[in-house]
Amino acid sequence: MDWSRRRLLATAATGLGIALAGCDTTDNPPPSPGLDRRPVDDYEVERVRNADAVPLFTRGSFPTATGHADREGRPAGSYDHAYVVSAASLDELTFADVPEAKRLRSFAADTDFESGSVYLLTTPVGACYDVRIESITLDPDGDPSGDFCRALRPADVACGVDEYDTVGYAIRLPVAREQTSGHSGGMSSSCRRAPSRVAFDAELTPHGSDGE
Amino acid sequence: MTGSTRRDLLAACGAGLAGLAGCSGLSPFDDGEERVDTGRLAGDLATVALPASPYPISVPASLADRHRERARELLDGVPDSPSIPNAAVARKLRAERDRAATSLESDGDERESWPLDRLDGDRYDRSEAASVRSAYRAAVGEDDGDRLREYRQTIAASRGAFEGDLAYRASDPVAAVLAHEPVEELLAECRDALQPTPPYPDDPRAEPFRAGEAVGTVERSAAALGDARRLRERYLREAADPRPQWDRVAVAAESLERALRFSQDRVEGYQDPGTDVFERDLDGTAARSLYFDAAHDLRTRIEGTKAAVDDADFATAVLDAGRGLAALEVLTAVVTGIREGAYQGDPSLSTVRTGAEASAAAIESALDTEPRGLAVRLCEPALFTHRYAVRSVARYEPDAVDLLAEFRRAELFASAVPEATAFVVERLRDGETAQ
Repeated sequence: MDWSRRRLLATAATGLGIALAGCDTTDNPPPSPGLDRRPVDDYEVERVRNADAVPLFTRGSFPTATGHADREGRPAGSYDHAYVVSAASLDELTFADVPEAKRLRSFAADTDFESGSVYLLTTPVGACYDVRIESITLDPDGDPSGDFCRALRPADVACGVDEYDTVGYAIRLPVAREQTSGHSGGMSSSCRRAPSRVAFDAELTPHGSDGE
Repeated sequence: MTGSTRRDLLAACGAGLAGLAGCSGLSPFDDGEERVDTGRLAGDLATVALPASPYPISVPASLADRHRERARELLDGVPDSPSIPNAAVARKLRAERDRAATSLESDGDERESWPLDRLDGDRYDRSEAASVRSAYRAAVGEDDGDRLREYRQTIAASRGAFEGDLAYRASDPVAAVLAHEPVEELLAECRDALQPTPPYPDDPRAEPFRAGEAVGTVERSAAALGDARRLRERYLREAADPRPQWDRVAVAAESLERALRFSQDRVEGYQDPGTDVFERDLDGTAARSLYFDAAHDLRTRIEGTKAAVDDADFATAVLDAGRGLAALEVLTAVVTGIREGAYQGDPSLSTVRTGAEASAAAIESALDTEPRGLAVRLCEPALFTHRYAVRSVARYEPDAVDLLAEFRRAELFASAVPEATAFVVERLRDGETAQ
């Protein structure tokens, strides 16, 4: 226990201590990506899990041999996301012939594209893990980005470390778009603990303001 | 190898030496400037041996033994091959158990750390063992939530009673600070760890590692309180004629906090670094790094002192203020030096070597200041900055500019320690007139 935590704390105000804390303590910090993105909180979600690691949708055609008939080995090429802004753009996707894929498609098709749109995700995931939504954000043009993360499933879920499933999401956003210039997605290997987002937002009505 | 691109990168990252570790992977080194090969300085820089611990008494081995025995008991409660349906959870449990066991059995080097620092490591090992143990219990369906809540209430009540009885008993006010600052630090650790964030989960089997983390955090809280109590008891048994020094320590802390705050006038305009205060380009120079870090250091210490006074952690406030006074001298010297053209040349191996010698000499001199224990505590930032810098050369090749800046900073800080020590002693020994 040479350079202990206590010692690091004691010297934290010196140059080395500053440096140890990272690269963000003085001027010219590197630009933070995503600062111009705004979060979307009021979305609706359909989440599915397929235990055969079947890719749930694709823009083209599905791989003929995924090599995961026994659920072992990470399925190749089966991570995808899509942004559906109309019934026509939904028809551009091919959904797998499994109940989970049909649920995603049905959820998307039920969207009123006059007032909403749908972000879709299909991804392989270890059978002992889950995929969670970390955040959904919109860039200044209104194009969405889905940030997801991986978390362990409960301890009493029977699973093997070499087995894979597929997790799919259909996320209905309260954003109508006639067209989109693109969308994006990301997957973190672990889920951050979101800070409390409880905000104080009192609405005061001053007494005596009536009739003014 | 070339250097200025790397310097530019470092400047943008706002980091000193260790920033290299985090940012170097991005550096292309392609602008043709020769880079000083600091790796050649390994084993060739003036070193400073760790002085004897400034804590006024020896730390009983029983404190560490207690943590280690508890940690072993906890780890023994986790089977080698836990039978858990989720194989990934079982695998992670095994890995964390092995990691905790390895850390527990690795002894700290007595030449490289003080007993209180090693005790901190023992508390960490105990906390990690408790985390693993409770994660295992959660994974097999045991819910420790209610017991943890009761445990936290017990710790909070004990801490409150102990803190209320803290009268800074010692033979003199300087000894009171040296003996009680670690106790205050432990009580702060106890308080901070008492409220695990995130809290124990409602469904521990769904989140066993979060459950473990919460229990481990509270275990650390209890361990810190236990150390605080036993250290104080031991000190009171060994100290000659310990009498309450609360008044003097409290008055001195408040006096020093005011002195530090009011003394800032001399560096007015230089505490919130901008790039143009010197009206010259300092990019890639030791001056830039020195100035930014000195300004940050002073701000941090002023804020820390104020917070410690507000929390009635008066021994902590006294040491924070004493280091703040030294930090004020550093910033003053750096600003003056930059105005006069100092710290702006291209460093060579020779200048870095000379910088290390000057830093080591200043630190050795500061450590000889009486009262020695107080001087050592005030000199800690310089001492450990110097030692980290020397070690960094053997671990990677730090940029010469940053390396030189570290030695200059340590030298300036250490040079201010004797006067800061004397000033603090005056306030402590004559608290009434210092008001």
